[in-house]
Amino acid sequence: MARFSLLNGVADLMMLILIAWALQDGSKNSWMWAIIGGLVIGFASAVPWFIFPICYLGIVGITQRFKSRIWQSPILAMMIITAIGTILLLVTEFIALQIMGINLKFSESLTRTILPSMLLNLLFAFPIYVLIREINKLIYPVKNE
Amino acid sequence: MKSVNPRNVQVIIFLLVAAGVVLLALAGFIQPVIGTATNPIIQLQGYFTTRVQAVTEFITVPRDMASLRARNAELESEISQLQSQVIQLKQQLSEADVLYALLDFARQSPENQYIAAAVIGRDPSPFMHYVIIDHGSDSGIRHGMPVVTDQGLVGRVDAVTSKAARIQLITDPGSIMNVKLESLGVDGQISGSLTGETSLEMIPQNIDLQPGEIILSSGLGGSYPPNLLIGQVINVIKRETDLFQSAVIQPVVDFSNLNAVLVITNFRPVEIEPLIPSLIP
Repeated sequence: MARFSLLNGVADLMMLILIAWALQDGSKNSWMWAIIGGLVIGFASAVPWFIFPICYLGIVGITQRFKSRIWQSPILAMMIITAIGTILLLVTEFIALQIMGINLKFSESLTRTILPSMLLNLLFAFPIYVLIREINKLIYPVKNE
Repeated sequence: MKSVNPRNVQVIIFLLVAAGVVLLALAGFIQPVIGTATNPIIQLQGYFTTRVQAVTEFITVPRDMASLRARNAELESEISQLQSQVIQLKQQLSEADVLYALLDFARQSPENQYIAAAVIGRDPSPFMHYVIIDHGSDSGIRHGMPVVTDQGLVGRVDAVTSKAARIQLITDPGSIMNVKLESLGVDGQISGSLTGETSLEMIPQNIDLQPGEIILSSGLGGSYPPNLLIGQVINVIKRETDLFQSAVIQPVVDFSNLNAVLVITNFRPVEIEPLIPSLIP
């Protein structure tokens, strides 16, 4: 039940792990992990189940793009993609909930949910990146040397 | 004249000397002499004893240190285990308190059948106010069943798997339910919000709504059983231009510390959608 929250925002650790993994040099199957992670989260959430896999796939796609362009500074890429990914995911959720008939005010959603979530995700981005980098080194030691 | 035997003289002299020594000892005059004579021996003995002890310690103490260190590590490990047990027991005590409270509540309302379940998760989306419990359809939980605690109404079952269920809280922005005011006997609606704040709506303007008014479920619509405690009015919002007055309510359940709940299994929501008239015949 442990989750990190600020106002109504929460940190999306799954998204951070996916971004960090996709940024690693030796990482493989980021697309597959995006789908699996999205389905797991979508299954537990009351938000329509397909929102998370689609958004995570989009975020991994953006990460692959950034990886080839900002390859010299992966931490910077991690931060930028985290900010973009948080907005992409939460705005998509917001639109989906509006379509479902749940009345949410955008200004309130922005100030109490989207921005606090982004702040939390940015706070956790660096430690998650370092952790995933070390795991990646353990899994693919030869390629990284 | 008979000569004195020299052997007898020796014996006599020896006896006289012995008697003299005994007398001197009894009188206390011989002690300093003995002390002077034995002091060097005592000092010598002390010197040798100290050295022998030092050598003995040199040989035996390292072994003692190693055994003490091992014992110390063993005791520290034991302390850690006991501290861990204390934490576990405190946690179990806390859970037992919650379960006793739920049991008391279940005994007070024998007309309902309950399944106790632990809250094991929350909705990953920050927009939604849902919790996940550790019992599902295998335990007899079905979609739409109301969920309560010993304090009051929590929400209702939204989705079920064999081993788990998802509960929509009454604070969820998508939650709307029919309620009644206990003392005024007036029906209204409560709805959740993004922030978890719950508001009372649809109260006619001519009703004298006051803070502190108790809110119960009305049973209208068939989604919830009647007379479940929900909360009380804390702030009334009454504008002359509005058709209805509204109010902010304080739920009786502390949703931030929700650890265990009761699912009412003998209540099935009524499906009223076929009764709602549609534009297309």
